[in-house]
Amino acid sequence: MDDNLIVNLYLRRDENAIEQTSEKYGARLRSLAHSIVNDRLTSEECENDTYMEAWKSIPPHEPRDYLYAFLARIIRHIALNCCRYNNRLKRSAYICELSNELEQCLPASGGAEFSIDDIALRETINAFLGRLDEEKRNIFIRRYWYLDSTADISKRFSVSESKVKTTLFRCRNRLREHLEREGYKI
Amino acid sequence: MNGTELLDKMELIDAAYVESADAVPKRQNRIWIGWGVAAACLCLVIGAAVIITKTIRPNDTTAFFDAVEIPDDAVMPPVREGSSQSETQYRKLYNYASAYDEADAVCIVTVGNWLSEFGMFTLFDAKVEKVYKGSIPDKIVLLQNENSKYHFTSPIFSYGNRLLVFLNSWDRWGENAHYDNAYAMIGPDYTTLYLSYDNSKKAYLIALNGFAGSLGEEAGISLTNSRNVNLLNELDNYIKKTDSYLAEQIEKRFDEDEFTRVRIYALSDFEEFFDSRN
Repeated sequence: MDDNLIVNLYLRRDENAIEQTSEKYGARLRSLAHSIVNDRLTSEECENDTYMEAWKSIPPHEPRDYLYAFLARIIRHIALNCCRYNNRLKRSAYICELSNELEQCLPASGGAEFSIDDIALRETINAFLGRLDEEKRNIFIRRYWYLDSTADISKRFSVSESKVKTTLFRCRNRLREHLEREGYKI
Repeated sequence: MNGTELLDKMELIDAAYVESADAVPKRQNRIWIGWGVAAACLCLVIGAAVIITKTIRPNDTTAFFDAVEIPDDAVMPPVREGSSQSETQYRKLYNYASAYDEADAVCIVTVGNWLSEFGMFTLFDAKVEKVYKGSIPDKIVLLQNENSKYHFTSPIFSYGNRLLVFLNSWDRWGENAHYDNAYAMIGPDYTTLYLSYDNSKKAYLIALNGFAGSLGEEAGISLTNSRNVNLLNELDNYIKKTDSYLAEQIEKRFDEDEFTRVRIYALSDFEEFFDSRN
């Protein structure tokens, strides 16, 4: 079913919306959650929570042109929280590793808290990504949006793992410079 | 803001970029760009060679399948191998004859989207391309006896893999899942055969499991020379078009010891064998 029609079902509060969403995007969402939490049952729970969240969020949102991205953003958020708060998954070390990598992108704060509102940050990050070539951008997003391991990224793009690590290192440095140029250095 | 918050805020990345990063990457053949002229000449030579080869070998029995084009929205498996290598005790060891006799259906399938995991299984959409035994719908749910936790012989399948499989209908679902037209492989994993083609488009079947040699021998199906590196490379190159990871696994087993080395069969030999069982 077309995304537009599925969103209409949500807007009409028709429970068939969830069935249609599951049929069209269920496997992709489970796969995404699985790659983050690395556990089948938890990824299925994340999927169900995502439908619940979508049901609550549409309306007011009407993601007619970006339904998958809308759902993917929800399930990423849910899966990340599962990793942080469910010790059984043993994923907190991995999430810490990713957080530490991104910490390197933040301009030196000189002790003061570096803060930025979501709207400005959205524009800044997307402007930064827009300046990267497609391969670098995809590698960066696979790592920090999809939370893929460097080994998985190297297989996905048929490049060496050391190239992935170098690309990510340079991207982080460029993001840091970009944030500084944009005036976020405190 | 700290790194943890920035990781969370990555969700602000534009939807178009997120979708683009999820699309299956196009194969990059940059090396060829600089060798355009040489490649064009090579194409002419290969074209001529194909025509000559076809003339010499008119007896190919199986229609050639072009390598599968993987769509941008294909659902690939999250991982290709389970996190731990497992040994298993098979309740019964089949050869290709007993697997054929006990199967509800024997067919060539093309693996589609990854669906989910269920118990020990990973589930895929699959399209039935050619049926040798039984009656089976065109589209089925294929259960592979590997998952993200436990790894046996084959990698977890991926979109575009073509397989010869011995299938039994499956309906032992619990409360948490149910798929219609589901089929599990007999064996369950060691009878899997990957379909590939040499440069003359002759069809072959590749078994990753070393003892597949004896499965064929017991059934009276002859092995092709599995030490023919040129042939192995040709078959591997066909697989590489859709699944570089699988091609890598096959390549790793070119030179391994007698027990773990890949085994190769001509599909036409299997087809003759199937005809003899009917």
